[in-house]
Amino acid sequence: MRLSPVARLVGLVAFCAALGACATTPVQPWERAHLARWDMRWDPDSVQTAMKQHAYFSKEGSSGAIGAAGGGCGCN
Amino acid sequence: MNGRSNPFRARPELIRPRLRVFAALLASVVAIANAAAVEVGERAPNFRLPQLGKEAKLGLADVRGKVVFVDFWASWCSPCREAMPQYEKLQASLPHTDFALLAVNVDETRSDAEEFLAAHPVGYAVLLDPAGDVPKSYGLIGMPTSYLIDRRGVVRWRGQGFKSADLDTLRREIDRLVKEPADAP
Amino acid sequence: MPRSSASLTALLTAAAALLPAAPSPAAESDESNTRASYRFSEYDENALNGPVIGDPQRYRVLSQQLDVDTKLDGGAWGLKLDATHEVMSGSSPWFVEPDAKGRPVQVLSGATIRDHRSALSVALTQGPGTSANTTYTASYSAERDYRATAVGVEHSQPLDAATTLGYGGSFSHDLLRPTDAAIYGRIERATKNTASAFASLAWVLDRDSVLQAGVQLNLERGFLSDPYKLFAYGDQVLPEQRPGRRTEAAGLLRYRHSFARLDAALHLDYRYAQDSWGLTSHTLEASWYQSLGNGWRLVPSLRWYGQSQARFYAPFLIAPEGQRYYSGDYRLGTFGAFSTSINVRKAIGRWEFSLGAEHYHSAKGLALGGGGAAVPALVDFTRAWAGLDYGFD
Repeated sequence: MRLSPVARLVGLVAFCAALGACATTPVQPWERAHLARWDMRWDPDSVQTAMKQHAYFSKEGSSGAIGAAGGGCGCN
Repeated sequence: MNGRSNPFRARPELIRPRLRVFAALLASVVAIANAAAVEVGERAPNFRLPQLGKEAKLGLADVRGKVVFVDFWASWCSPCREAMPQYEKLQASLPHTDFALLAVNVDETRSDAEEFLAAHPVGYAVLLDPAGDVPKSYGLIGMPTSYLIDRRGVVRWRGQGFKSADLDTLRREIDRLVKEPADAP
Repeated sequence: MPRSSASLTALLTAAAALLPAAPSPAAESDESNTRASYRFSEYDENALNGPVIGDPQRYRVLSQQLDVDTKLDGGAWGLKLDATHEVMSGSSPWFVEPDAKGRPVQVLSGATIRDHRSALSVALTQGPGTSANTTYTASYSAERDYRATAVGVEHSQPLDAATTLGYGGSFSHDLLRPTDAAIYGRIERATKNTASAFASLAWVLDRDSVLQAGVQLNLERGFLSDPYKLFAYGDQVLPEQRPGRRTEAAGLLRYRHSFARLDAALHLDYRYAQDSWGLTSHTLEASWYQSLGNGWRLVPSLRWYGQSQARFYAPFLIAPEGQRYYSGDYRLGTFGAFSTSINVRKAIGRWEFSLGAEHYHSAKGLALGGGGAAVPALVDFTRAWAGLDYGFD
C-alpha cells in the first residue's frame, strides 16, 4: 500500500517522540504519582468507550480503534 | 525492489553486524535501567529515615538481628494500598522480638500518606522518604517492591507488585528465616 | 453546533470555578476487587432533511449494558464479562435515485425495521496490574440476520523503565442471513472473515505525560456488501456490489497529560486509516477529565472525523459503463463529522453514578479537502446515557 504524506507525518512524529523519550532522564517508579492517576489511563471508562465506538463503527467508513476488533453487526 | 536499490541484498554480510550492534545497544539500555537493582543474596543497603508520627529516626541498624520486611509504598499506588491492610495482619501475627516491618513511604506530599493512614491505620513503622533516596539505592524497578531481609542483613526474597496469592509464600519465607540463627555462617 | 460549543464553554468555566484545593482520590468502586457497571443508553437519529421517498424517521436504538470486572485466583487473573442488549427500530437508507433534473433523492426502506441484538464478550487477563500481561478475548453477537464470533489475544511487555510494547491479533467470523431474501432478491446466506494484527509502543515522556503510537492492519475477506442496500444503476435498481476483499492500515497516536494541580488530565487521540478501496480517514479526539471534589467528575469531549470516498462510491449511475463495483452507501462517501459530548460522574461510597450526552453532526463540508460525489443520507444523531457502578470486596 502506498503511504500518503499524512501517514509519513504520523511516522515522523512517532519517531521524534521516541527519540525525545530516550533523551530525557527516565521517570523513576516512585516518581509516578501523576501518571498513576485514574484520569491518566489510556481508557478510563472502557464500558462507555465500547458503546461510543459501536455507534461510530456503524456510521463511518473506517472501523474502530486500535486493538482487538470484535465482530461486526448488521447495523444500518 | 531490485538488488541494486536494496543494500542488504547487495551485501548480505552487513545484516548480522547491524543486528548485533542493535542488540548490544538494546542490552545496554536495559542494563543501565536496572544497573543498581538489589538482588536476592546481596546485602540490603542501609538507610535511616524519619518516622511518621514519631520523633526518632529509624533504620535497618535499629532492627539488626531481626528478620526485616521492607515495603516501598505510595498512597497513589493502587496495589500498594491493597497490600497495606494485609501486611498489618502479617505483622500482628508475628512476635516483635523476631520480626520487624518497615514501610518506606515515597509520597512527595506527606499529607497524602497521612490521609491514607488515617482511613487505614497500621501498627508498623512508616518511614518517610519523599526524595526517593532509598528506593534509588535499592534500584527499584516498579511499585510496590518489597524485600525480605534475614537476621544477617542479606536480601532473601524480593516481591514485585502485589497480589494476595503472594502472602502465603511470604509467610512461609518469614517462618523459615525466623528459625535461622543471627550469627551462623 | 455553535449552541453546544457555547454551553460547553459555560460548563468549563463553571468547572474551573469549582476547582478543589486537594486532589480527590479514585472512586472507591474503582479500587474494589469486583466492579459491576450498568449502562442504559438511547441513540436517536434525526429525521432526514432534503428530498426523501419513504419515512424520513430514521434509526433509534435502546441499549442496555452490564459489565462485571473481577479478579480471580488471588489477583493472578482478571476476568471481564460484558453483556449487551439492544433494541433497534426505524427505517434506514435504501438507495438514492436521480430526480428529473438528476439531483439525488434518498429512498428509505419502506417497512419499519424492528430487530434486537444480543452480545456477550469475555476478556481474561493474565497478571492484571503487572507491567507484563496477556489478555485473551472472545465475543459473540447475534441479531435476527447477523451473527459475529470473534477471538483475540493481546500482550503488553515493558522494554525498559520508560517504554512499553504492546501487540496482538484478532479474528472474526461473521454470518449474514438477510431477512426477506426471496422477496427482495437479496443474498440468502453469506459470510465474511476479518483478521487484525496490531502493535504499539508507549513512552513515559516525563512525570506528567505519556505517549502511545500504534499501527494496525485489518484484512477482510468475503461478502463485504450491505445486503439491504440497493443501487440505481442506469435504468435498473440492483443490489450494491463491493469488492470481496478489503485491506485497511491504520496509525494511532494517543497522548495523556496530567494537570495534577488542577486535578485534571488532557487526552488527545489521533487516528489515520487508509484502505484498499481508496477510503482514507482522520479522527481527532480531545477530552478533558476534570475532578471537582466530593466525588464529582466532569468529562467534556470533542471529536472530529473526516473521510474521503471509496473509489466505487456514487449516489447512483445515470449512464453506467459496465462498472463491476458500485455502492451508494453514505458510509463510503466523502464526509466529515463533528461531535461534542459531556459525561458527569458522581461517586458516593461504593456507588458511582454517571450521566452523559453526545451530539453528532455530519456534513460534506466537514470533510478534509472536500470534493467527492453527493452523500444525501448523512446522519445526525444524539446519544444519551445513564449508568450505575458498584464495587464489591
